Amino acid sequence: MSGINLVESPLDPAKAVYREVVPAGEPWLHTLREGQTLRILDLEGNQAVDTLFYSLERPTVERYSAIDTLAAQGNVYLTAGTQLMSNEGNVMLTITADTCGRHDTLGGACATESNTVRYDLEKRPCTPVVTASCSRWRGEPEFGIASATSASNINFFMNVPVTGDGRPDLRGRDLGAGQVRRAARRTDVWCWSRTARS
Amino acid sequence: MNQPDTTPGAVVHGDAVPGGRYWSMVIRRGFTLRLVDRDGKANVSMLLYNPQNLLERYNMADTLKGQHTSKLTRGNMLYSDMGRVMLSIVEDTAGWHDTIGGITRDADIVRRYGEHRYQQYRNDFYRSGRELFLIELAKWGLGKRDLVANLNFFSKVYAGADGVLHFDPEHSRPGAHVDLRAEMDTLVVLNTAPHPMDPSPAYAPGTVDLLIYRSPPVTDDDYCLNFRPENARAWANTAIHNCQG
Repeated sequence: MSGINLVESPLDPAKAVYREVVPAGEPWLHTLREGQTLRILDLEGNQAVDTLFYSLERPTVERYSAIDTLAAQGNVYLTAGTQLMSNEGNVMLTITADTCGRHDTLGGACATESNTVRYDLEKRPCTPVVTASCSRWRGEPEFGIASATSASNINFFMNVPVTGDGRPDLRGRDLGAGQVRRAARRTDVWCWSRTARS
Repeated sequence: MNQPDTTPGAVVHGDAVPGGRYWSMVIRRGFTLRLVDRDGKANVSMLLYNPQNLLERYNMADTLKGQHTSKLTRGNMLYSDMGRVMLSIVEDTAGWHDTIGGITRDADIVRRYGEHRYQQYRNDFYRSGRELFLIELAKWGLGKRDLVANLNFFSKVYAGADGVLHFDPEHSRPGAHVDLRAEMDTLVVLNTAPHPMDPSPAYAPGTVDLLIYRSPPVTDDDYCLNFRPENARAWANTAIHNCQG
């Protein structure tokens, strides 16, 4: 795998069973059933989409895992063909189409506390979207996701190059030399299993 | 320089963990844990928790992102998910420690090394990094959901331009050591299973020697504190935490 794999999706958006526009800075959560495909569309370009996945059956135990995903494919970047692995070693989803080509899973999500480290002790600039999503889940008795279980996420549409000598440019968005904002980049994620067991 | 006093009398506690075993202990603020790769064959997988609030733990993403690196060595601090420093790498003769390679599962061990169960092999049976972590975590009321991205001391994993991950089998050497200074009380849980990318056909992880020293006071010119501006801010957050007693 080259780390960049552009694949167009054969799926027709007109036939989608669900559609929603998520404004910048807002949380969203939804259930994906086995066999369904989620398309994430970067409407205006330059948007990162921090994403977590949990097993519907065991949300407090089984979730998306960055290190298991990297280990399974032996590559640091996510792209079409990547199988998104759970912390129990099961395939949760597969990236089936991708017109962006590379997505990050090492950079993590922003949080109020880590932002005091990254930017300024006096500033609490982050809208902790992931935490907000988890809090929303906590309000629903069938879930019960605590902040501790929001451990590793995917940053769709974020390109975070990692060099062989250990220097990632973790500030970089997908804006390399000669590259401009590209709107309407699409990533399809196919839900492989909703009842993954080890 | 702010190195721990390594004269024999300064050692508070010493221990040795053979390959394929586990260990845990709360390292209190003011103490430094030294890991020694006795034979140059060790991999030390490690997770960190705040013993006062076990929901706070080592965070791989924040540690790498905050210090603009994908490797860990002297100068780097190990951040929690609460924007604090748990441990600082104050000395390092290995030069690179991994935190993206993860751990082995039981199925990995059987596939690579064959099945070696206790029934037949007694204390020479083979166990995975995941199994060893779970055994040790259980002693603290922690379990599967608390397994997050871990550290792998003495192991080097790097990415090529195409993103392909590589493991350097010649990285460590006999006697290589790393000193981890506790900046807040930190529960250290470790195991010595092989690194998941270790190509060796034999299950033969090395012994790690553990030494705990009293740390000298952290001064304004401390190497780790000044290594990145982010480190000074994380350390300031930790100081606030520590004044809560």
